[in-house]
Amino acid sequence: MTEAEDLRLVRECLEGNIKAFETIVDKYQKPIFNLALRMVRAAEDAQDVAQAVFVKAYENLASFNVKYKFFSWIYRMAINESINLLKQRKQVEKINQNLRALEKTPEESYDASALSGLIQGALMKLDIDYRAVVILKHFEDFSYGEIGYILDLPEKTVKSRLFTARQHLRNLLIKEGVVAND
Amino acid sequence: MIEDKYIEIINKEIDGRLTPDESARLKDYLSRTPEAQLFYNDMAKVSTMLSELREVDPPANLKKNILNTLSVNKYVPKSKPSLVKSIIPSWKFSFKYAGVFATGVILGAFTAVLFNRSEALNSLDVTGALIINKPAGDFREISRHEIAAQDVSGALVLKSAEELLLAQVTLKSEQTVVVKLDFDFRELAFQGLGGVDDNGLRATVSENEVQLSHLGAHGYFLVFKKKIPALTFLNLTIMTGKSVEFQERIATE
Repeated sequence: MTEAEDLRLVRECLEGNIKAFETIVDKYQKPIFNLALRMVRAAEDAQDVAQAVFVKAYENLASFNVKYKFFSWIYRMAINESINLLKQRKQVEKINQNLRALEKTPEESYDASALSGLIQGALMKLDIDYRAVVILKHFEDFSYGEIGYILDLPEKTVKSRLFTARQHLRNLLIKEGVVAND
Repeated sequence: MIEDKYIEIINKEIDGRLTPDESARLKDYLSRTPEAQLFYNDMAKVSTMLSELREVDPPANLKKNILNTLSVNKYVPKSKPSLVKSIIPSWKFSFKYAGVFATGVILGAFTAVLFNRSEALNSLDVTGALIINKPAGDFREISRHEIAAQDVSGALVLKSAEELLLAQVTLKSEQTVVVKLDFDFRELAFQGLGGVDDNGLRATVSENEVQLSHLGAHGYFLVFKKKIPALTFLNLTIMTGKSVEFQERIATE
């Protein structure tokens, strides 16, 4: 489905066609849920985030600026919603202080291998700003410019933040013995 | 110690953004610098591991929950933010907020009275300041709306330039016809009317509505200024007497 198709769906939604919004949900529920899952880790929280994102998107469709891509707009909401949830629950501090990379959580049933769990664990140890750029680049394959729009950052900052984030991630994975630095 | 510029080049390589020249330089540098080669290997491995994390399917009930939430709370897209929401920005239905809701309704009703009072329509003959020349600009056609109702026929063609909208109207009717265009005053502003072929038109203007009434065949254009760069709407209603002959919500992009 193209950007033009997205725009058509947005217009139809604004004209009161709920079916058009259903198509938007069908198209974006998986990427938005996965983005949220990478950001907040717990499946239940990711579901809450995804649900809130779509409801807010529907409520605010009229403010969508057609100069931007619809998916960038909705991803931006997903990142902000994830950050809000983490802040509300003070998970940032909690994770930084208490998370053990190897501890198992029920949510790891989403990641089949222990390695995936380790990587997700390392991601969660990253500062939230670094985590967001890594997720948008490596899981969603956005360009620096698109990440800049989603996170409201200059492209240059996106680039430097991404480079630093990867190095932090490497150091974390070295500590876990996943990446062998010898 | 790895040179900073090569750390940047390694990252560009990870993102697949190296030029052939940079790629050759990196290859040469890595062959001469074991520490850099190790760093590169690690970064490549991190990148590979990230890309190997599987996408998972969302819970089966996610879509249903989303759509139920929309339905239960009767959300509607905000082409105009509601009065209640302007007073209580993040209001969601909950019994525990019933008191707040009731207060909101009372305040809303009071504000609506004030609002409506300040929005009284001004009836004008189509003369003077209301008449403008067709604005310069590279107008492109957005949409065309053919009107073939029982007592009215014609068309409205909507065109857009950078900050302006041009609605070109041609209508023919044996009865007096009322053409109403309403819009969100925070999104659009009526600028004026042009191309009027005689004085048989009357216009009624408020900050969020333009009404024109005329009899017979007429052609004219209305100009609106876009206040925001987002998608907006014009609601077109054409009436003869009390009967609605044509009604359409027209997107401005």
